[in-house]
Amino acid sequence: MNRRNFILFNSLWSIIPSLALAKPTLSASRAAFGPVSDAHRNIAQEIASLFSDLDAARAIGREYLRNYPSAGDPDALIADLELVDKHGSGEILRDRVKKRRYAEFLSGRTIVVNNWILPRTEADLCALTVLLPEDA
Amino acid sequence: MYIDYRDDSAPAHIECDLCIIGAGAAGITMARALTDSGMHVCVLESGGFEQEEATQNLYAGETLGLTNADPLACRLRTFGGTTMHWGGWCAPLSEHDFQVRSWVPNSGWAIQYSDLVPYYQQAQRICEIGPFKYGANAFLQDVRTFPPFHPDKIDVGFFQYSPPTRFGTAYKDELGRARNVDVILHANVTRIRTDKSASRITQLQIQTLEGRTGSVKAKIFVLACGGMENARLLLLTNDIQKNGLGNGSGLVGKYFLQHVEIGAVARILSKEPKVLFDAFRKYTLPEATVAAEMRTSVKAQEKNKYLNCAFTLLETEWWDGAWDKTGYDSLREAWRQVKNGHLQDDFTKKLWSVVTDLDSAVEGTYKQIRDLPYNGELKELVLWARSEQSPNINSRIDLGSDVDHFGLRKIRVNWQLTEFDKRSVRSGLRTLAEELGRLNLGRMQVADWLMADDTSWAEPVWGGCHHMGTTRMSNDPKNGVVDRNCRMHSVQNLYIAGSSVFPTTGYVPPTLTIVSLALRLVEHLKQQLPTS
Repeated sequence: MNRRNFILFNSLWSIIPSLALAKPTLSASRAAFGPVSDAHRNIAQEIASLFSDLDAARAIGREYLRNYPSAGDPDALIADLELVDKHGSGEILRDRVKKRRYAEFLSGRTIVVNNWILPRTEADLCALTVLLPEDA
Repeated sequence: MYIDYRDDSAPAHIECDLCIIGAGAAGITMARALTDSGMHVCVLESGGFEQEEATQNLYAGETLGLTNADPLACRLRTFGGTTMHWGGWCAPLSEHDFQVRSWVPNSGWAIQYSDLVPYYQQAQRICEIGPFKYGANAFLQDVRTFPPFHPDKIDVGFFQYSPPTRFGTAYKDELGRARNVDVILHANVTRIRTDKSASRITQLQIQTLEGRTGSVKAKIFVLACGGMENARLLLLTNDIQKNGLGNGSGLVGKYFLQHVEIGAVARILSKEPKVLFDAFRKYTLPEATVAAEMRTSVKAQEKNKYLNCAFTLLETEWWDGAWDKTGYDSLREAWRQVKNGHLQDDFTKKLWSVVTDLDSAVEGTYKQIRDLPYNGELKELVLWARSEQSPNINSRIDLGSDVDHFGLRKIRVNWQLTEFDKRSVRSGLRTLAEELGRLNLGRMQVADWLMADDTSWAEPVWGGCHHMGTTRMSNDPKNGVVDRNCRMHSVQNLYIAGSSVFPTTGYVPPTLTIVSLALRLVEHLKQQLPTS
């Protein structure tokens, strides 16, 4: 990673630990019952709201998808991340992400992206910023 | 008593009970431990009290394989040996380091940790460090809280800092006063003579650079010339055994090990880098100067099948080269000498370094007084990795074709690392990264070259000038060169002291273990050689 990318990622990092504190702009419960494209759009907005620097997240996401093309199915990622929360609480989502991250680090379910050692959940969220552009 | 062998009044032929070849950490420790033993001990030293270019050049040789293993740069051929430029980091090997590990071929010592503990305790004093404690709660519990790492993954351990003890100055007067110890300076061993079966040494041929020659006869001989020269002298003794003295196993010079040290192996981004840095930085406490480190736990090593490694934090600015603290280091050393009431030969040089680097001296002193890290602005952290090297028969030293001043073949060093060594550092970093992430302390990015799953090694890798393994210890003569008492398997009156007997190395610098093994060897020799 060159210096520029490193700075980019530095800014990304500044928000990743605060995922659990970020306020979703749209509740996952509403997104779950709309048409597929609307659901994707809503989820994209929700994920985007988690990142203070969306460009940095997308840079990581693109690198992740380049190295792991099998992660390129947005529906599979959404299902795996349980982003469509039928019980409709942003708090639940935040807690879930936090717990997943903890569990992934504990169990070694980590992934290397651009030589950064990241929990799978963080990498997947970055991938979704690429796969589900907000303005799609 | 000191005898300069260049002096014609010095006896050409010497007889003693015990002859120690080499006056470094091991040789000086043994000689000190034998004062008033009743044995007549002579210590042969190639150099004098000061470094001399012509003598130092006897270390010149070829370097193959990886760089950073050049004996000319790493070793010192003078009274005090390589301790005269030693960094002073001290820690014992762990219990685990002595054991056979199924995933580390050729691991396992012929002795156990418990065999060395009493000597480690004595070695602490010799190396001028604090009490013998190194575990997670050894120090700083009232000052810092360490991250609650999962014990199956990462441990916290400590290094202690020796001043560092320059054995050649710290113990010079004491050995000079010893009635039963003769230190023969400028006496180079140019030939080892044995009986016809090469099972006993009969005498040594010694020579000065100026050409004065003579001999030394003793009941017992100890090779204490360091991890390279020990093997070279054995390999040079090939008039009866063509592969070298005591080399029936063919392992003299093989399994040449160093530590795998990588200065900028990864960086950590953290919301609060100072909190993490402060936990693991150097502290000067009343009882010792210490620094904590993050080390891979035994369970993590077993589970992931990697080598023993540990990590220290550095400030980014340090790694970027901004931290030139020559003046500050010189000031500390000069102050130590004043405090001890014994000004050493380099005292004036130290003062001059302070004068020519006053900025560093002033800033360092200010930080020390305020108990601050050297650089106040901390943005990110860099990791320094230290790992053991896996025993590797292809990593070796042997004899080159060029000859030295005495017509003896020069050393040829071929330091080789393997994919296993690389994977171990990489996997150890991953274990640490996962723990830092789990505790929400930061994210780690590993150096690009290290992530490549191959055998390439980048320039920052070096061996710490810790030369080990070339006369490895074993119970079975087929698997090593010396036995559990450091006696050569096939030479009855020749022992080896120093890190060349280490079959595996842990990740800690070797000096404390060298001194401990030397003390243990003295105890053994006292039983073997009743006082005369």
